[in-house]
Amino acid sequence: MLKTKYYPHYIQNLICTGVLLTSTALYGDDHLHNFSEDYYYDDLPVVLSATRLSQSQADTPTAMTVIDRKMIQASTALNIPDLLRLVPGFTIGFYAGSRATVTYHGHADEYARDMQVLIDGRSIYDPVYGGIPWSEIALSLDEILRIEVIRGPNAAAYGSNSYAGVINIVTDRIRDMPSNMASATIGYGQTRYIDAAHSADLGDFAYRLSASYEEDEGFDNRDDASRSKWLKFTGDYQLDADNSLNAELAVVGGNYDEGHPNLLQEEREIESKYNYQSIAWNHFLSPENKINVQFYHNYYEVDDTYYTPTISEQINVIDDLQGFDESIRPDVFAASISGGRYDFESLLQALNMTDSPFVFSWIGLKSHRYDLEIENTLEPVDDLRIAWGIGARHDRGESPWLFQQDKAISRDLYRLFLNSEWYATPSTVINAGAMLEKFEGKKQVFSPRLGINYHVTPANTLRISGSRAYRMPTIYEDNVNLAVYLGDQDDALNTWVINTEELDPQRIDRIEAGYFGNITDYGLNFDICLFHEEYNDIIDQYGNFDLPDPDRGITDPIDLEILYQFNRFYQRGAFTYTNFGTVEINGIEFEMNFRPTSRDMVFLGFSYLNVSGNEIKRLKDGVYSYRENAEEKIPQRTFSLLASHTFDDGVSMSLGYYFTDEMEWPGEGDAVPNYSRVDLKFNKRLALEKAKLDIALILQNIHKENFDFYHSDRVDEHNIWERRAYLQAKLNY
Amino acid sequence: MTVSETHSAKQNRQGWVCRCALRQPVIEKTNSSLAISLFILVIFFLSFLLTPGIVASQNNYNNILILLSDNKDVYLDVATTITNSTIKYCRNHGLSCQNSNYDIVHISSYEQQIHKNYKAIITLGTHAAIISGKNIQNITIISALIPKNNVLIQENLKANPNQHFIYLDQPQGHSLALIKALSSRFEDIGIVVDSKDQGTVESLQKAALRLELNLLIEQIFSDEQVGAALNNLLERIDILLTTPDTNIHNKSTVSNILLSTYRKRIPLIGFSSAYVKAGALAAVYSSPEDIAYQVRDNIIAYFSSKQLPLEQQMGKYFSVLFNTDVARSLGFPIKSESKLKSRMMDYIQHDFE
Repeated sequence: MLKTKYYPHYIQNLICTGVLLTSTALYGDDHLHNFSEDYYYDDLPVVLSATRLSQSQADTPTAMTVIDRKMIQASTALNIPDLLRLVPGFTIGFYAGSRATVTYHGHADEYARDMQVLIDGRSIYDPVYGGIPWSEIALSLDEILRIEVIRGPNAAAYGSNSYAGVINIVTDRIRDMPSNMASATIGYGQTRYIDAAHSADLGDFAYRLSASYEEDEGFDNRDDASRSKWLKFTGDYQLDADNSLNAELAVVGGNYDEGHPNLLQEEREIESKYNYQSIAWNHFLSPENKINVQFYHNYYEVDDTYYTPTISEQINVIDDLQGFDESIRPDVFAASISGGRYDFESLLQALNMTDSPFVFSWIGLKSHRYDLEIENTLEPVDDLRIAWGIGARHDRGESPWLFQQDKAISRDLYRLFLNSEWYATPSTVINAGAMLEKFEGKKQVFSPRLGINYHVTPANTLRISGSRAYRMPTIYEDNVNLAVYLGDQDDALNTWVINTEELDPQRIDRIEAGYFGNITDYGLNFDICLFHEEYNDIIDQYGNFDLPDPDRGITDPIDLEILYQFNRFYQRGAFTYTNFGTVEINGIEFEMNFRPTSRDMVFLGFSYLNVSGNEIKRLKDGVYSYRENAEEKIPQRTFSLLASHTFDDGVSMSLGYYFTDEMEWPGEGDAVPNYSRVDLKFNKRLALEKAKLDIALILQNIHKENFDFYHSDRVDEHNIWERRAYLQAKLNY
Repeated sequence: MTVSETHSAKQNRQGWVCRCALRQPVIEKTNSSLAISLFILVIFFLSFLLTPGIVASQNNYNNILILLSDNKDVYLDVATTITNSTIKYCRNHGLSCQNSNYDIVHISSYEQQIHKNYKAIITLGTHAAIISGKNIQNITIISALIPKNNVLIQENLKANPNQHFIYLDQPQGHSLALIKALSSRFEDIGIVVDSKDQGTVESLQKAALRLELNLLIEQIFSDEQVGAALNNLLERIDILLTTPDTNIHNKSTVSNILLSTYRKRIPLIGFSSAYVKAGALAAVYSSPEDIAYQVRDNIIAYFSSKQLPLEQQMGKYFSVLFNTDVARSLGFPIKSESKLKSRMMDYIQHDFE
């Protein structure tokens, strides 16, 4: 008979106190553990709670393109703008070798102002000049986890300026990146890119240091070389199970050869500085209730001051005067604009001028953006998720060149937003949201959004949605007073661009009906979207011939007329901004993502637009002149294809094809013929003992030359895409 | 303080007091649920007695003793399901086991002199399995609710020739069958395993071969390599499979594992219901009821033929849990658990009988 006394006393104590079950001294083999059945039945912390889960593509109310890591790796793109060619309806223009403008449904110049761009929740839209400084954003393609492109306005979910579209860039977590990474790319146009990064996971704290240096000669036919470098620190600190902090800061410096061989666009070097600091706090009140607080500051500085030749030197190269001896050309010029009244010396005297160079800057500025946002995401009841919050923003711009004042111009913004996702029935999702914004000095604006997605079957979803959003005028558009100076900055000679009226925000309304198919068993999803967009109160730049230049203290009416003639030689009147016109776009966009296996991928994108609308051209003697040419500014069709396959031996091959219809770039750009580009990429992955080495051959634009952004015979400005070849090596360990 | 009671058709024996349990306040906490459960059992058995035509056995040697490792609900749930289901089955099939009595006792309260009065002893949990395996001889022991990779269990496998083991772990083929049932699209299956855990690797490879799945295995040599191994896998696989291993999947690591896989939009297959509730897409696992039914089958087999199927058995019955929120977010169609189970049966090879 066994009695308790038969248990050795010390063993029994061990059993009863549980010591035996947690002792590690008994381990005979590492893979065997002393875990008990509790391991299977004890609860784990809920990680992917409703507040952490993102909305699937089938449930989003608007058309969305997702570019994930597989597509980034397969793509031949060396920068983000080039990657975005994949998105239906997107137009990309490289106005210099390494600097690009990205727009959805076109009608944008070098500084496309129609989209919100976020990197991990931080807006990188420049508040002063507008647009995205794509070459200054301190982000390599290898750090990106996913780019979500929302095609259409979505201010309610993504904040101010989510106008024609939103590019939401999500970077990889530090813990999910390799500890060390080095990458080098060489090739076309003396391209030399070097990237390096080191990250470490120290338990609750993880950090990453990354740096990049890039230089290239740009387009072969232009002097548009660039040199840029950046250094970045990212830190993640997990305070406890419910609290985490993320901090990031970066400094960027670049200089870019810029300009064309003409008088006021002469070749020069632009210097830029960029830095940002961002801190975010995530706090889980419960798995169903999360608070996120984010604060960031972006700083952007561009130094683009340059000097033209002196007035007499400028006169010496005027085509019409080449028949005269160089020594008398200035006098001939002076006589011609003064009706024979003055020679060159006396002209200068009469107009209070000296034979000095002009000095000016088109985009020299310092720009700050401070932003604080508090967002609460919660699931108050089953099947209803709400994200609401408040935000405050302070934008500030300084530029004696652009504003003719040393004082900074600032603008504050306060916003309140709410988004809800309600599974009204198991097959019906209703997305409703709105944002209320109050910009300093502007009327408050309200941007609503409503969408209904109906899952006919789990694989087939129909949706209908409508949304409205606004784009506020930039600080530049609201305050510009840009002049060409003579000799130094105190002597304004010719007013070039000037604000003359209170501008309203421009508005977009979009309704769309879409179908999303998601056949998971075949790895196939596709989206077809029919939409109607109306752009109203478009903020347009036009030439106003009636705007006077500074009178230089001249009172004599004849001399004033001569001054007018002198200035007219450079520019008549000035450019200014107004809210004008409507553009309507009816279109269809199609997208397909087919991944039959984890090694194969085919992505297709197609967009067809029917555009109508007009554009203000100039104002003369109080009469506007405009032309119905909106359709010329927006390409009718875009097409993109990316296909890749990975073989057993670690070799992968991909093919890219991008097509954009002929169009006329607004701003400084020109009418360009259609852009049709075929790319190839071969990648070989070598698995070393403790590292992975990828060696890639990238061939871009292999079948024909393309013109990009500039295509003017008159001033011999062309950006010509030739065949390009690059060799890239990436080491991860 | 009574922490356990004997339930039988004929008698209610005075429960034993665990000497060590007196020092553990946790036992007091569970006393009320224990008492309620036992009360229900007593009522059930009494009503059973009153049924005409049922003659209670006077033969103690038909009786079954169930030894619990602890007073947690899970042990009691399994014990009560074993008794209920076995009695029901035996009665419906006219088997001699319909007259058995079932005594449920906490291992620490167990008085050894009475064990010889039982036809078989069922132990639930690791603690009870180890103690009984070492101390109870000459009687058949069926140890259930135990993890396969527990070092103490593995060390004592051969210690007692009369001891049989029913593991909590599901055969590897079941998880792969779940993956097949979820989508035919899933072909490249990733898994991170301990480099020393060759048993798991071999059984996975065997099952993957049979199901025509491509297994991508990252073997790690220390738990610090989990993150890197995972990152190596995620870009090459359709779905990530997990197997029980405290070094790889524990309360402090699942958060990162789930976030890493989710952010890369790779579904994760867990091995427990808790893993699914935490964020895995789905899991096939042994619920307490599944374990109880397997024990019931063993008891019936033993009564019928005096033989037990196997000395070591993996989970035979299984449950499936599917996380609809995660599926919805991943754009994965919502699947019903019952349909998944029935589809799984097409892929499962019944090799445990």
